[in-house]
Parts: sequence; C-alpha cells; structure tokens
Amino acid sequence: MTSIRLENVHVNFGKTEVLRDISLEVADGELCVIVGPSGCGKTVTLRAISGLTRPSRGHVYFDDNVIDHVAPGDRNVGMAFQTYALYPNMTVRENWEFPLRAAKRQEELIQERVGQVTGLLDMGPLLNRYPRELSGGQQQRVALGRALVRRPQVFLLDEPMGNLDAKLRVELRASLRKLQMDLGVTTVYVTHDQVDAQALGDKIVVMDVGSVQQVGTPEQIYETPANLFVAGFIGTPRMNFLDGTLKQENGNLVVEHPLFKMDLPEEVVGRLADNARDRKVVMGVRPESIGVSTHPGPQTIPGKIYVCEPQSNEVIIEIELEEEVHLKVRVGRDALGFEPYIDQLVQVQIDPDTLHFFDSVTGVRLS
Amino acid sequence: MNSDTRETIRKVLLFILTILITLVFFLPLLWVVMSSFKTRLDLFAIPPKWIFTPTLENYIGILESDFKQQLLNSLIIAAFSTVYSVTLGSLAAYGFSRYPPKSGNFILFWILSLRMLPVIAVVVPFYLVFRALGLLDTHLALVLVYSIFNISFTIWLLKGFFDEIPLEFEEAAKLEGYSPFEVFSRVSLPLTRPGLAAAAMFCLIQSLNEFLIALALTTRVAETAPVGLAKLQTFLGTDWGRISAAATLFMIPVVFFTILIRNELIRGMSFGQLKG
Ligand SMILES: Nc1ncnc2c1ncn2[C@@H]1O[C@H](COP(=O)(O)OP(=O)(O)OP(=O)(O)O)[C@@H](O)[C@H]1O
Ligand SMILES: [Mg+2]
Repeated sequence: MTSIRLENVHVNFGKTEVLRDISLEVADGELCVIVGPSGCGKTVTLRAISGLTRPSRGHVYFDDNVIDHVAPGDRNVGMAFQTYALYPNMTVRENWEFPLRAAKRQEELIQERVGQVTGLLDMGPLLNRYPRELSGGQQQRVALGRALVRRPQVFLLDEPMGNLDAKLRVELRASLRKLQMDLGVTTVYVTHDQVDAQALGDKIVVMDVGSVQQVGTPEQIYETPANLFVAGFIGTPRMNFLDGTLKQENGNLVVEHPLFKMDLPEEVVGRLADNARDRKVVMGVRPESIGVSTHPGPQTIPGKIYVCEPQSNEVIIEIELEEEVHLKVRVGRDALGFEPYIDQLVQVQIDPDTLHFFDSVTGVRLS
Repeated sequence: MNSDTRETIRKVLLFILTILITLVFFLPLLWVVMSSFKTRLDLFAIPPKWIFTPTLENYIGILESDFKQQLLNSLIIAAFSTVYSVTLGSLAAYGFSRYPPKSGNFILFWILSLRMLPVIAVVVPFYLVFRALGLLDTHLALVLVYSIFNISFTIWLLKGFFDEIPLEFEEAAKLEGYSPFEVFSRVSLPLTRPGLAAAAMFCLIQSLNEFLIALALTTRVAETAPVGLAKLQTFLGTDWGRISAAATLFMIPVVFFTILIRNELIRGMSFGQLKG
C-alpha cells in the first residue's frame, strides 16, 4: 500500500509562510492524527499531501517516490473536507456515486459500495436528500462517506466528526478505525478533539504556527511532552505551570518555588539532564496528578478553593495558592472524600514524581 | 386583531397590488393581442371595443406575406447566436474566474465595453466589413454580430456565477480523478444553471429585438422580423391589424422559452444567490 513522507515542506501564501519546514512520516496502514490550535496549518498540511496545494519548498513522497508533480487526481487519495464541499445539486446517493463514476466502475460495484457506506454511516433514510436538507452532522457524514466510498490508498480526513453528537462519534470512531484497519488504508486524521486523538491515533502529531512540535504515540505525547506548548495543549484541563528554580541542597536536588520547596527523588533527578542544575525552570503538573485534602500533611501546600466545576464523576477545582498563582485539579468525586465549596481552605499535595520540567526561556523539556 | 388575520390581510393587499402592477404592464400586450383579432373597423372604434367577433383575417394576411420567412430568419439567427454566445461565454467566463490572466480586469473591462458601444457607431464599419467578406444579407453575418454583443454580456454575467462556486467543490472532483474539463462540465456548469438561463434569455431577446444592424446588413434573404414589421408602415398607411398579428406571432417563441426556463430564471435574476 502506501506510506507518506513529507520532507522539509514549506508552504507560502504570498509573503506569509503557513507551513515552516514540516517533516513527517506516516507508515503504511498507520493512522496518524494531527492536532493543533486553529490556524496552525493542519488543513494546509492535508492539502499538501493531496496535491491541492503545492509546497513552495520540500517534497512529498508516497512510498519512496517523489510525487510533487503528480496531479491530485492521480494520487488516489480520498479527502473529507473540513467544509464538507458536498455537491449541492446532487443527493446524498449521487454525492457518493460521483467519485466512483469518475473511475468508470461497474454499476453493481457502485451500488455495493454506496450500500456499505450507507450502513457504516447510518444514512439509510437520508439517501435521497439534498445536502441543504441535512443537518450539520449529517452533512459531515456524507463528506466522510465520499472519502471512504472510493477505497483510495490514503484517507485524508479533516475534522470528520467535529459536528457529531457524543454517542454517534464514539460509535463512528470505532467503525472508522475498524474499516481503516481492515482496508489497511494509510490515514491522516485532523481533529480538535483530544479524546479522538488519543483513541484513534497510532501516532499523534502536534502542530503549532506552521511547524511540528512533537510526534509520538498518544502515551508519549501525554507523558513526555516535548515542550511547554505540547504540555499545555494536550490534556484537559491543561497542565498547570509554576515558575521555580532547581537547586542543589545538602547533596539533594530540590525545586524551589516562593511558596514551597520540594526534594526531588532519585528517579526524577536521574531523568533530568546534567545541566539542569541551578537554573530557572517551569514546573508542569497535570491537574489529575494533584491531590487535595482538608488536613495538612507532609509537604502539602495550603490554598483556597477559587472555582469548582463538577463534572459527571469528577470535579475540577481551581485552587488559589496566593494571588495570581492558581492550580487546577481534577479528582474523582470518590477520591476527594469531601464536598468542596468556594473559599474553603484546603491542602494541596504534589507528587514530585509527576512533575515535568521545562526550560524557562526556550520552553524545551529538561530530560 | 391577532397576528394571523393581520398576516392574511397583508397577503391579500400585496396580492391585489401585484395584480394591479402586472395589469399596467400587461395592458399594452393585451391590446396588441386583441387588435390582432379585430377587423379594421373594430380596431378604430371609439370607445375601444372589449367585446367583438374575432377574425383570423390579419393572421392569414400576414402569413401569406414575406413575414413568415422573416420570422423564421429571426428565430434561426437568435437561436444560433444564443447557443453560440452561451457556449463560448460560459467557457470564457470559467477561464476568467478560475485561471485569471495577468491583466484580467483590463481584458474583462475591454470585453464589457463592447456591450456598451452604441450600436449606431458600429453599423457602418460592420457594413463595410461584411461587404468585403461577401456576407451581406446572410444569416451568418447577423449571428456573428449578435454574438459579439451577447458573448461580452454572457461572460460578465456568468463569471459572477462561477466566482460564487466554492473552489473546494472543484477540488473534491479533481481529487476524485475528474479531468479539468469534466470538473467544469460536470461540477461547475450545472451549478450555474440559473445564470445560464438568464444569459440565454437575455441573448435571445436581444437578438430577436435588434433592429438597426439587421436593417443595415440584410435586404431580402436574411431579413428579420423587426425589420419586416417596420416595413409594414408604408406611405400608403399602416395596417395595425397585421402589425398586431405579426407582433403576436413574434412574441410566442419568447413566451414559450420563458415559461420553459422560468424556475431557473427567477433564481438567475437574484444574482449569485447560489443556494444548492
Ligand atoms: N488560501 C490561503 N491564502 C492565504 N492564507 C491561507 C490560505 N489558506 C490558509 N491560510 C492561512 O494558513 C494558516 C493555516 O491554515 P489552516 O487552514 O491549515 O489552519 P487549520 O490548522 O486547519 O485551522 P482550523 O483548525 O481552524 O481548521 C492560517 O493562518 C490561514 O489563515
Ligand atoms: Mg482546518
């Protein structure tokens, strides 16, 4: 089948450089998820792969062949556009038949494929509607179906489920993943949804302002974010950041914050690079790795509950350590063991094992 | 008064107003059609007769004259010019919209300025050109001249429609393996149907109505209906009955064509309202 490789791809629109030196590899049959804030260049990356946008520098490879000069129609990719781009003068069925007719397939095969996609996307009763007669989520499924129906070598899916309700999304996610694995189609999937990204991706690419920030498995991205941007972007609520200083004290490495000081255990010290001494750092701690209790214990930090957002089975508590220094905490309702209220005085416990350290100037992970 | 009754009253008032306005525009037409069925006596009766015994004598008269051929000429010339203008115009408009040339706006303005040219300024040059070509008094000459005027308008009208079509529709088709011409003919062109209808209608009416050039370039063989109609006004007097009959016959194809494409036309008139 097909593997995809982008090599130092730059894309310019007039003077503005929208993609800066993107290098990226997606192995044959892999599902690669691209995440990143709005406007960071996800769509443009997909367009560069499909050939709709020509890179101003760099090369795109399918397998080991440069395809810079291969026309989009000859690349055999199926793309679901973020804006759907459904043909307004065609019914759902015609929208799905249209790609198959380009290849002059047999009528039976066309009907069979359309039937399969109809089942997969649960669109049976809507086949004869026009796009304008469909809801946003239904239109989105038609757009997805149009990419799937042709069974191309590569799927390029630009936020194919952003408009679906939670239930449908979970179901469709599973079916899509199964279909993709059964067919072994190399897939690039753009999403804003972190759950989608974690659930689907063999590999996640985090992008920001036109460049790749980190590539890795979902676990790698979550557990060892490469820099402050990735750390802050992945995870909800986002990671807490505190300024601090790493210091050598009585043979131990400690991290010092105006409000607290923590000894770092051996493993953490071992992970840190050698030069990570006596320097200003940004400490990152995930909301889910902070403990809250009402009684002081060893190494706890006092604070006051600032905001409390109950979720279904957990609570997100924002705690004020001092003015302008806030921590967000996510704990299970059961694990909390008390009913939090605003202005309640609490004790915060941070496990030094779970701290991430970043250079305070460059934002790069120290380890 | 609840809002339902108010709404009903509003609708009724609007309806009456519409009827009145339509009547104002329709009255002359009605007069022509009625006159075509009147005898010379009824025609000039004062006060005008609304009820009379219709006669076909005007129609028989006009159809026995040259007018039959002139009407046919008009239709042939208008049809060819329309097909030609819309075909070439849509291709050119698509080109201007999707592959704009460097000095596109200048060229577009130049094309449109052809349309703004007062006809009378070009009658003589056209006459000389077609005389040199040996095309005087041929259908081809009029088809060509009308197309020059109509294509420029068609390009302008249709370019607007093509501009409205999101590029992504075409990109999707491109990715699916359609050739550039297929993308044009199977994706974009069908989406401009209202525009095509409006353009065709416009070309047809313009070509049918044109008088001055037809008068200059034709003498017998290719003479068109408007010229023929004018020639019915002779120094021996004007036969209004026959003129009315001729005008009525002349109207039929336009009315027929309008009814045929009325749905597209209404959408086409509300420019660029491209809604699937
Ligand atoms: N045709 C274009 N001309 C000029 N600038 C463009 C064009 N297309 C995209 N851009 C710019 O390129 C940048 C990246 O756009 P892109 O559509 O890839 O963002 P995205 O990551 O897909 O965002 P979103 O999540 O909102 O869809 C944006 O800043 C956008 O303004
Ligand atoms: Mg996008």
